[in-house]
Amino acid sequence: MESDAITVSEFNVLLNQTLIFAYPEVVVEGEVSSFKVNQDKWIFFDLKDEQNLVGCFMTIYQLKTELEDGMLIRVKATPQLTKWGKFSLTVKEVELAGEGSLKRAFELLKSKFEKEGLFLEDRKRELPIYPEKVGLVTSNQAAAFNDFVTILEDRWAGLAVDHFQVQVQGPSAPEQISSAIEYMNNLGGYDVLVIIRGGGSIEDLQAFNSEEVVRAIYASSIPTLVAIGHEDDVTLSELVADLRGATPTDAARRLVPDKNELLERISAIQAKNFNILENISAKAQFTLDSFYYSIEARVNNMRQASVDYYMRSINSLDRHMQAVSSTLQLQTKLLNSLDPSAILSRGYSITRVNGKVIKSSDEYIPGAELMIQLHKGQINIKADTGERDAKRQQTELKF
Amino acid sequence: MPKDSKPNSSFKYSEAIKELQEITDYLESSEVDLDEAIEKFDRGSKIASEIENHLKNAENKIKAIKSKS
Repeated sequence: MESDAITVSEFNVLLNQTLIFAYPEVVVEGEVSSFKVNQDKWIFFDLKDEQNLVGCFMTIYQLKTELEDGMLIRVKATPQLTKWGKFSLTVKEVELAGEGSLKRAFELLKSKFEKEGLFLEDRKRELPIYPEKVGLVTSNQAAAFNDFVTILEDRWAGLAVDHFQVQVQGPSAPEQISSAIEYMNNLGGYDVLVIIRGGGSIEDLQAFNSEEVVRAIYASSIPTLVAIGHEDDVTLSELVADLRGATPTDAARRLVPDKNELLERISAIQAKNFNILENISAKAQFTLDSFYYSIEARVNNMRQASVDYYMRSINSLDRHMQAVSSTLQLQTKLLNSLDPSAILSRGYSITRVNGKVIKSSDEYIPGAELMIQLHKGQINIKADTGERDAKRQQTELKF
Repeated sequence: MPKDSKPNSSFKYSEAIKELQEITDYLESSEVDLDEAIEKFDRGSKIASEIENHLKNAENKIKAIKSKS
């Protein structure tokens, strides 16, 4: 018996070889207890059911979900006896089992992201109203893809969609989705990145509640539109997105405008522009008419003014003529009164010697030929030759 | 819309609609020249026709891309 003995180390190696051969990989479901993280690297916890318990070990880099005591999980692991003689499962993957665990992990991760500010409203970007090129991350095997494309066809035209095929559930989904988001960001040229998935159980939607996908969406330099599951399913991917669609169909509606609505709007704009143009034209016509009216009125005024002026001139001339006429009559009367023939008619006479009028006896020339002019006719007589003084006296007596 | 009118690939909705809006803004402004207003209205009608042509004749193109990794 003694010769068959092996060392402890040999025993340990032998046992581990046997375990690996018998259970190269085992999936065990149980509830987490005594969960702890050492040196931010090593994770230790126990997995238990009502009667039994087994220790588990893994690195923090392998853990893709939030974990805490009381959660029901499934682990993919390899059984191992450590060199300290302790039996444990070396865990490669952890999958949350049951709605309770998923919801709890969701709450824990949500709370962590909220503290980091990943869901803040003020960091959300506006999506362009008229996108030209969009990236689509989803599986074309699901109804969501067809729904999305159908609605796009109904609503819009001329949109370029680059579809990146990914699995939307299962263990590889988070990595595929996050890689696709990263890849499209590196390609560039997209107006919007659309990430969609149809309805399913909370387990089916788990990839969109994973830290990996949420962080990839958060890091996207392209604005994101995310629609996962039904309206009531709100995943963390949707919370971190710039815009959430309640469903993939709703995402298509939010992505592009409705062409019929736009056509109506364009038509309304043109009708409005035409009305404005008509008004502008009517105003111009009115201005032109007003101008004509004002010119016409001015011409009429001028015409009236010239008639008035003419009339005033005529009247003034008339008055002037009357005045002149009146003056003329007066002058005529005066002239008439001065007419010597009128005086002669009253019996006076004019005496001339050699054509010169004799006004005094001093001008008497004895023996001169006198011509006496009467009212009617004249008398020529010869003055006597007597003394001037005597004759003057006689002459004075005669008068 | 004529059947043979094919949408121009360089056409951009956002630019067309922006220009149409600018034309409307001009027409609504108080300082408007009648000749220019008519010219702008004609331009607006042309843009509206282009938008309509695209909405009725352009196609959405869905293309599958693959990661190089």
